[in-house]
Amino acid sequence: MALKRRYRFLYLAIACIAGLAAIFVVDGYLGIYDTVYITTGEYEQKIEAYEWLREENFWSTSARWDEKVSFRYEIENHQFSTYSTRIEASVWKENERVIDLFAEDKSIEPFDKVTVEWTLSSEELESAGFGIDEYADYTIKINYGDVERKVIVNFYSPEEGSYPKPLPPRER
Amino acid sequence: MELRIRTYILYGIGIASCIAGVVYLTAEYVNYLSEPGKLGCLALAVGIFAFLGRYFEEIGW
Repeated sequence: MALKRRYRFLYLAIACIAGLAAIFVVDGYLGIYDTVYITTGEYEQKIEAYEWLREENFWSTSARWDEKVSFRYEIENHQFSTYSTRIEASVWKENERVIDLFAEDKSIEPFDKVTVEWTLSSEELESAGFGIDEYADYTIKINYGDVERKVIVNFYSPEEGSYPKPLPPRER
Repeated sequence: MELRIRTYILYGIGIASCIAGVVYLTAEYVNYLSEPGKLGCLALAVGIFAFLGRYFEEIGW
């Protein structure tokens, strides 16, 4: 008994260390997490929630002007209550909203997730009065709740990106 | 230099490196915690030092 009494503060200190580890694990898991998947050409990029904690709060990608850019957006609710939010995606150019890509109210059950999808094509940008010379940057803003994610899409003209250049027709 | 002193110096460097590594990783990971989580960690860290202090006091250090 005396031995146990002697070590009681050591046990309490060990319990605090265990509590610290438990907070790291549980707090790291609980919350709302979003993941953006961007497909340009044949390549898919996955941007997880922690990526936005970097100093630059945007993600950049490039796409050919004549190819569609597909977005898949996933929100996971790691909470004990239902999470309701409005998910919006829009295209911005020079701080002006030019196209609304997606807007929908979603309700996510506890420990469940929702996935929404939309695409951005050059036809939509052309119909909004935008074109491409060689390069053009557009900002895609994705919002849910108070959270805003920015993806900058750099479009390049098909002529710029086609390497190797197609050979001229052979003379006969 | 006496072998014993050299051994203690090496032990000291090893322990300091370990503590620095743990502190660095913790500082990085704490960025991902919520505000209540950070507060809980602070309280438990204070508890660790307080209880270890009492333990060493009781064993006569």
